[in-house]
Amino acid sequence: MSKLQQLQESMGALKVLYVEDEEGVREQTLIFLKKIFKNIDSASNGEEGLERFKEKAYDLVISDLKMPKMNGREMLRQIHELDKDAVLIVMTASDSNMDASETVSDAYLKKPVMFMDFVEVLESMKERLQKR
Amino acid sequence: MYITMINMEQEKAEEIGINTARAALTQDKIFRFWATSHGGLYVPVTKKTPPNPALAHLPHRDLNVADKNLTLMDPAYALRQMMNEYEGLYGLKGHITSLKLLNPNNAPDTWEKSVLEGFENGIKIEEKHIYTEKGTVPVLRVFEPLITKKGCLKCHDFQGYKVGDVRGGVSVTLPMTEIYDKKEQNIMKLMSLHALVWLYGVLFISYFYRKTLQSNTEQQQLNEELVKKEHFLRTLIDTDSNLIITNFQRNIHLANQAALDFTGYATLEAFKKEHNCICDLFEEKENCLQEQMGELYWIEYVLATPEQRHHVCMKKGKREHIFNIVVKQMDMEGEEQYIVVFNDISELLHSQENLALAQHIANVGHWELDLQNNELHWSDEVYRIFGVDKAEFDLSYKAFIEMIHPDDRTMVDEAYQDSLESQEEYRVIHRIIHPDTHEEKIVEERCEHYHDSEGKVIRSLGTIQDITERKRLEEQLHEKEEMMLAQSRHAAMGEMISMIAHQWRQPITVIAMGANNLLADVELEDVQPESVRQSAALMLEQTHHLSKTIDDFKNFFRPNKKTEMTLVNDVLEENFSIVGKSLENHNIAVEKEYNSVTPIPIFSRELLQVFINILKNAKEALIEKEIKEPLISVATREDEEHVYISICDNGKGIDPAILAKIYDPYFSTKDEKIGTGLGLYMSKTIVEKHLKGIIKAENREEGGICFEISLPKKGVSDNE
Repeated sequence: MSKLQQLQESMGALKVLYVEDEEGVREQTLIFLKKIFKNIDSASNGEEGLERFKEKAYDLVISDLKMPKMNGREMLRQIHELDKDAVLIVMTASDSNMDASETVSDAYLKKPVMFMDFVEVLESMKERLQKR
Repeated sequence: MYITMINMEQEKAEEIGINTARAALTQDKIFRFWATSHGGLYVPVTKKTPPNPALAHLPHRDLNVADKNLTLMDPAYALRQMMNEYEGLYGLKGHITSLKLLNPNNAPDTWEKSVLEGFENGIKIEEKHIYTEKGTVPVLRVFEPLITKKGCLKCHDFQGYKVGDVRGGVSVTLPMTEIYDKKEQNIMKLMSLHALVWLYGVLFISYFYRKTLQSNTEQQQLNEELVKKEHFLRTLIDTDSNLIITNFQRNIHLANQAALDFTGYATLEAFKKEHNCICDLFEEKENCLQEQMGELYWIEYVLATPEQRHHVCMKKGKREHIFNIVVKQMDMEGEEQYIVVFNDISELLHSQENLALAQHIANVGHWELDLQNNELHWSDEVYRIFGVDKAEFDLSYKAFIEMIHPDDRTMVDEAYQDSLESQEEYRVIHRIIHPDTHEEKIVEERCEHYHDSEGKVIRSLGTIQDITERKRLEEQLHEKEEMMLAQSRHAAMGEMISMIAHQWRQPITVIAMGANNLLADVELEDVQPESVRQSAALMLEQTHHLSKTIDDFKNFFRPNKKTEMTLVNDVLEENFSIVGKSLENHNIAVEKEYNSVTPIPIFSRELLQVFINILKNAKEALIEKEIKEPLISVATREDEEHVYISICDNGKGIDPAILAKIYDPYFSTKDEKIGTGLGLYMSKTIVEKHLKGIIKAENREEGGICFEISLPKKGVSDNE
């Protein structure tokens, strides 16, 4: 069994929110994420993302940082306020580590995201996510 | 001697005559006095003495005493009677007369009348006499005035006579025949005595008389000529503005008007009362002549040293004047006379000093080439520019050409020869090299030509200016501008790279995700041909987009060597295609209003650079000030001659205190990491120097700032 199939089995039922302003990127990333998560929603900016989170208690939030209206950093900070246990993963093109360090998050993925990196980050979150 | 004797005889004869006449007059006077004192006298009425009708107004004119008829005779009447009676007796004829007559018989003759009129007109009352002729007889006539006395009024009162008036006179006429005969006898005696002497005398005298007469005429003519010439010379030297004096030995003899005016004396005499020599006024100064020059008097010194220039310093008021002096020596009848001319050169020196100073300050020298004699003259400043010693340098056109940088020689010579032919102004910039130090200088030369009546150039007058320093500064400035342009371009490039990077990230992310999806399908053993095809198509599409952004990037750095017909709207759109995403990320809205429709020939890349700079500033200002609804509005319009582009934001605007500085190089309000301080400086440089337009910045009333760029529709030419 491949690693992806294992993730599919262990995390497939988690409620996931994906926030990305760039449509092309969002579409392709959603295609990928849907291969693992059956229960996934998306938002195109921080403001929309925060609204979604308030409606539904997501287990995992994957977000870009630079976005119009409300940026990812602010959105993640507020989500963390609402639910300290929600797992937060940043997926950004910014090469500055400072952006990540100043952000409330559990993991950092640099765009363009490599397949194996993504698998590894999810595997590292496995224990925390299984608690939910 | 002979004439003297003749004269003496004549005088003697006349004296005898006058004395005789006077004696007669005196007698007459005494008689008349006596008659007047008695109020006239009564005489018997006879044929010779009838009653005087003029006295008819008197009550007692006629008396009858002892049967004798007596009539009153006034003194004048009595005297006339007496005179008439006794004329024959001693040949002396008396005549009493007046201008106002009682007795018409007493009327004056022409001579008497003229004398009486003279008395009446106030001529001094005295005796008058005349030698004349009566018929053929030479006579002496003596006339004595009669002054009105109290007794006269008895008869003359009615005529308005007053005591003291001259109302008439008595004259006697003395025949001179006898006296003259005596004189002739005496003269004859003298003549025989001096016959010989007289003969020679006459000859001698007549000869010399003629001679003197003749030479007198010549002398007079010569004198007149001399006076004329002297007057002419005097006028001539007085009109000279130079001070001219002449000296006999050490004494001043003549000074012209200019000399008198300068020294402040009205005449030479007035000058000489206070000074012995004009050298009294010589100022004691170095290089100025003094009264004694060593052993020699100043005039002698000047004459002894003709090879030198001699200067005299004299003050007029407070101002010192400097003169060139020239002395000429003349031998005047054995005495040395000196003519000294003082030529005031103060003004000349002043202007020469000024010129030299001006030339030195401006690093400009002048030169003159006499083409007829092939003589070249340089001003001191030219020697200084060329760095050669005036005294040692052998100046010629050839020597000048040899000082020129070898690469420039032909060009300079040809330029000069061409200008000689065309007679147009010669203007050339070339290098010169010092023969010893090999120091290189850059000079600018200009000249004009002067020609004779036939149009042939006879001399060239030119200037030469050392522009080495100016050229160096120009080059420095040019280098600095180039450097700043490069810096600004690098900054803009950085901005571009950041923009492009941002644009590239998305397609790369999309491509990567497409690849991830394919990998995931393989991992999940769910490879569907349709999804593979979709992913591949997506990736191709994204790579095409990447390729396009590379073209944009290349375009930006493509140096604009030629102008292109450009619609400014297109440049703005190109700009937004690069920065648009960045603005969107910061929620900055963009309003566009394109009204310009005419493409203009400009360097479009440079205009793009200007737009990027302005939009970047606007974006940063809006973010920094956290403007709620940030908006950037761009608009284009045009009129007959210009195209206008305005770029406005709704930020806080620019502090008016620094508004004037925004175009200064290295001026920035931004964090050092963000701003270079060159963006607006270079924008202004590009707009004004490269695009020949104008850029202005104005705070808007509603907040924010507007930049407006106006570009000429005729655009710019390629080599600008």
